Amino acid sequence: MTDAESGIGSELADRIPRSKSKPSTSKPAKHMAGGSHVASRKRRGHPAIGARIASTGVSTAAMFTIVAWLGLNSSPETAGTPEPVVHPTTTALVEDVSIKPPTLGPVPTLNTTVSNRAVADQKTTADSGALSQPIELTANPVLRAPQPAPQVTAPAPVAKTNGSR
Amino acid sequence: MAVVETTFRAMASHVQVIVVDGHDQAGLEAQRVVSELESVWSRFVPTSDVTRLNNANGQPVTVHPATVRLIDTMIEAIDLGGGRFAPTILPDLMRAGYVASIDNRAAVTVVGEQVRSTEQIKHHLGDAQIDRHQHVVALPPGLTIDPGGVGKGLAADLVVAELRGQGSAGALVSIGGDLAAAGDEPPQGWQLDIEDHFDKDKTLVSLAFSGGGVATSNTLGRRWIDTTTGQEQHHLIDPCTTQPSISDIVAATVVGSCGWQAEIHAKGVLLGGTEDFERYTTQHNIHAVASTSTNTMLSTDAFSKFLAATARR
Repeated sequence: MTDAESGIGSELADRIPRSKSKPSTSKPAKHMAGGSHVASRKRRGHPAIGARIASTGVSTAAMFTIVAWLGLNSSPETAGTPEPVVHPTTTALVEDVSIKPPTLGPVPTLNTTVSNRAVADQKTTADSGALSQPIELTANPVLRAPQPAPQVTAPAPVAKTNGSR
Repeated sequence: MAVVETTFRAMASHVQVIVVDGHDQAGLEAQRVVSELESVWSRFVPTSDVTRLNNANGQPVTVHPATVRLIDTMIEAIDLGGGRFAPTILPDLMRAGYVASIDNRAAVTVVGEQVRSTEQIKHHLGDAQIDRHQHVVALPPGLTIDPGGVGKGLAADLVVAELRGQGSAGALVSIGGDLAAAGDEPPQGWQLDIEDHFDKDKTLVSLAFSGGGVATSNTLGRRWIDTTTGQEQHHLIDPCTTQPSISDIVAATVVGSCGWQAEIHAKGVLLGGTEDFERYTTQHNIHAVASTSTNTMLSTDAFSKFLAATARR
């Protein structure tokens, strides 16, 4: 097994005595019932490193120190199995954003930004003062009997009220 | 004197326009204005000002100048109605089942999840921030509006004013029974037939009026079955209970100073019921006629003699 395969950085690997006689510690892939198989070693951290260190006769304290150092300093590039990278565009992150409750802040102060003003001016120009006439109020509407239409003319139009049917 | 009548359908209602000595295109102009108002005020139109405001969650929205006028009118109407009018009951109306347009069931009201029920709303429409020069409105967060009847009454007022402003001597506009009239009357006056509240093929009262507004509110039309309860519902929500009205008055017609005010008072008379009919009509100095669920008639003095005269014919 090469250093790269074992997950050891080249610099550190040079400092670890090698055992030339030891066979590879990698185990054969486990065969699953369904015929598929998984490579048990490659999915895990650095067990091969610990085994190799132990085989060199380094003291237990030093071994733990080295293993801890490796754990802290290993990067995806240097580890045997790259850690999963969560890219900002993954679904998981998008979902995190979407489930945030809407923020209900105070009513914002109206500001006449350029964009608003442009839209308003455009509408005002298009309307050219339409619908700006004052509504005439009839203070005391008078009800009276309907007058029959003169015989020579068409029937006068009659408005109807029925409550939005 | 030339009197021209134009009819068309808009705002899910029959629209009638009568113009006295107007220009040739007055009827078409009225139709254009009503359509324009519907496009910005309808809660069933996804791009309307009302839909955008209802989904803005407190953010400022640039609107049509007429929409600013609508909101100002709604605020004035809340005071006029004395608690019997609330333009912010859309969540209750939708909860009752009035979600789709009467004319087009595929056209539905679109509101965001941030819209709260009326009980949860701590803000008042009067808290809305309005820039009347730039036509920018920010409703309080979670608050929604529904123009409903006051929108139709105001639209009638605005179209009449527009036609008068363009030179017509007189004009009457009726949108689904909410009507406004101003200026010179036709030779026979502004003639009005109030349909029998229980039978639209019959006339309850025939009369003429000098101008102003007329509106009818009823709980007999625009009804539907609530699929969850199986009960029949209607569109007139009582702001006090946030539920469809259970008043013993089922229909009321009011003659008032203008279209939108008549609409507010018609709702006020209906929701107040028989007990409050006399007090309410006296306080607001309006003419009114109403029908109860047992088909009893209530009317102010001015209406009474016309009821009798119509019945004799």
